[in-house]
Amino acid sequence: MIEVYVAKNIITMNPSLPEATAIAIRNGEILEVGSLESLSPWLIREDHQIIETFQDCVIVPGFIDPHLHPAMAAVILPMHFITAMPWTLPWCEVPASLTPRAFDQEMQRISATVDDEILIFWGHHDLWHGTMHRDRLNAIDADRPIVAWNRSFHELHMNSACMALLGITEASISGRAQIDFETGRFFENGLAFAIQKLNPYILSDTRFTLGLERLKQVVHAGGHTTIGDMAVGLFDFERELVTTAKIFERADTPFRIEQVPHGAVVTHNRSFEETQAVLTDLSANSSHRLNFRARVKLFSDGAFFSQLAQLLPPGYLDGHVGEWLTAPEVLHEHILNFWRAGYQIHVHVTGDMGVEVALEGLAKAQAEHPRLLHGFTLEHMGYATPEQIERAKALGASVSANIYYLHELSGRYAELSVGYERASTMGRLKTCFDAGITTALHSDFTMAPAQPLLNMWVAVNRINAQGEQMGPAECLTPNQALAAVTLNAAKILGIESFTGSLRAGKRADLTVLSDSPLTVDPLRIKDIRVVATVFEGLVAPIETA
Amino acid sequence: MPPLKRLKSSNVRHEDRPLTVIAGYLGAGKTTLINRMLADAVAPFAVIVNDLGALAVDQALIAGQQGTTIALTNGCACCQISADLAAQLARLRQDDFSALVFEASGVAKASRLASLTSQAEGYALAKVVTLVDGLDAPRLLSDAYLSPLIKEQIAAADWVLQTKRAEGVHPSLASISSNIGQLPSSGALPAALAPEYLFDQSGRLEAGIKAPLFQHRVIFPRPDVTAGLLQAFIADHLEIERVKGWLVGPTDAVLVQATRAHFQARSGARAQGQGLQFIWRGDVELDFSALT
Repeated sequence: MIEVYVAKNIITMNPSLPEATAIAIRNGEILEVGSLESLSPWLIREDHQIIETFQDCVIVPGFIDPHLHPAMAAVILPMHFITAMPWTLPWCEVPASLTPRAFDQEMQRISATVDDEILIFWGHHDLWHGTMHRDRLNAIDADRPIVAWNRSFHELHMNSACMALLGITEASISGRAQIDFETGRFFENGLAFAIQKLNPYILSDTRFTLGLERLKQVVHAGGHTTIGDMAVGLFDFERELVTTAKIFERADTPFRIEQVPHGAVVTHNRSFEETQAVLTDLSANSSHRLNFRARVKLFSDGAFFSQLAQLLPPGYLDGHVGEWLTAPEVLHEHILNFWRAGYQIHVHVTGDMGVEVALEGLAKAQAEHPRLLHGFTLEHMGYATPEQIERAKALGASVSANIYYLHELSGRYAELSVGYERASTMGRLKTCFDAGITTALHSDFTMAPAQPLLNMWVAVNRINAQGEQMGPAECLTPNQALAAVTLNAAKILGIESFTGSLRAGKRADLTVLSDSPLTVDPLRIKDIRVVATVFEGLVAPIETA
Repeated sequence: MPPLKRLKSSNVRHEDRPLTVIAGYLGAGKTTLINRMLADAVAPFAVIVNDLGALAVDQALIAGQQGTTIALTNGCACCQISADLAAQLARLRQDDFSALVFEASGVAKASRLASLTSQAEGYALAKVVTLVDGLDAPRLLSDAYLSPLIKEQIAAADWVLQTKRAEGVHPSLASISSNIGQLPSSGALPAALAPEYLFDQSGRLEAGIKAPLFQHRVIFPRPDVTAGLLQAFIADHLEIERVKGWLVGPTDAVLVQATRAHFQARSGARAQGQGLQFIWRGDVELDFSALT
């Protein structure tokens, strides 16, 4: 039986046939894209059904987020979000809480409606919500343990009941840096102490399973049919393998996960030959929805949100320096090992000095053992110079960017971190497109909401959280932005042979939208509704709140 | 570097087991030193190796000892939720040993490790010892990618040991810290480096926590706050260095850009009411009640 979906418009991302109005699917595979008329050679030969459910909608290739972290998200998603930016979560709509009063009211509202053993709120930000204090949390509920976790994740406050539950006394934290008993504040290194105490609660099987189930909803609601887990093992390799298989390898999961192992974890205490044997085995044992392939994730410099990106001169306004996650020479050695073995290599780079080290590694690898179509990818790429982008192109590198940095951080970083010029040109994506680099967008969820339309909106408009347009010369066209969350994202994961665009022979991975991101007012791209996804031919509607 | 001061003796937790951090870039000789300490030790001590980022050889060398390997990801606190240092320390605390050595990853900042390990329940940080390869130091200290890290590792240590150079301390090291000794190229540890010395908790440098130079906050001014009122507020508060954002009145919105020297307010085309950002000097609290 052939299923034919008709739509107002089908945007294919296939350059030879960019638009269509009907798509024929059989056994999860696209037979042909075109019009009801052009499909007739198929339709006269076989039973078929014409489905008009989406006739007023726009169909695009199934969205792909090539870089997020399910296990990390699973830790955060059971927390209650109270944030300055609005978040649309499938189980609740998180309003923008822009003042200390709004934050407290949300805490009160949630506190009255749920019965968690420890109430954990995530998203507090001094900028908007004022200074947190244990008394402020005591005022919400003095008897119930409460944690207010900072948006940055680098700080939290507890109320007195929580400290009592965890056995934290003034004596037990005396002399420890970055803990303030009086205010209940645990920050940076002091956070490690708090996390140690909280671990049994936040890592419990029940919460972790709930977190993964919620992630599944988030991924679907965003309109994805493929995501990349861009560092399996970031949290706990074995536990991730077991639990993701249990939760995601089910008939009701409307997406696949492309798994990319954390290089430092899989090489640890193993010779490279042993590592390869393990990874080959994982690839061979991939299931239908969960796939390892010859890919690896490596790390260069520190976290962008923590201002630990390594920067070329003139560096940061306050003169601090970033950090290396991997020593440059070790990163180069890892790159060479995986390069020689034919792997697709993804390197986390946040600052331009991090990019520099990664590109040096790639240049060495190319000089020693030239490869074409190798898929070496610069991941995140907060800051990069135009000259580095040219070199990246010459060396055959791709870019998978977190453009949400620009929205959330550019206003603040202009004032407090790196100055206006570099803050306004973070995520230099038009330069990448102009250079002909395969360029994709990702969320790094939960660093950014897993909503490709929102990321497209940022890439097209470059409007920051303060409402200011930053670096307009780097705005993408809507078509480029759509490519960045579909076909280009498929290329980043090395799976463009079977998904990422709509053409005969590919798997029927579709996202159904209420409007066309190519023709709608660019400022309204983020308001387009995701109506449904189709994963390998199966429709998965998206409930709207 | 924040200013360093000697640890107050009242803050030494004598009942806690001493913990010594061995820092230093790759190849500085951290594992060699730890193996020598193990050979010389009278009482057993445990070892934690943070070498996940490096090519894994260290743990194999520290053979047959009580210990564990952990992953500490630089900078990103969210990564501490899994097999973090605190959890490993808590696990080891159950065992019977007199002291703990923490072998840092080659790219870890010494000051960060000092403050991180000083959190550990049941342990007291005794020393941060940084090892520097005396032969490789000139290269490392002129390497654009590494010199800030190497300098920090040296400057933030209680004791710096130069390794792999037979004669004299390299001048480039001496210029960063006067606290530099030499690790003999072979044989037993000298008294000053023996475990008893390294685990002695008195007299170490306390990591200073730097107060922020600037603070920042977004406020949402009342609709009746005019540009003139705001300008007066800025003039009255000498700490304020910068104000940027929107004054949203009942009918219009004004985009404000101000420094101490400069005040500009103009009607904005995009009246989004995204708040008004203040940046001020020092760690004082500012009272915004006149505006909100």
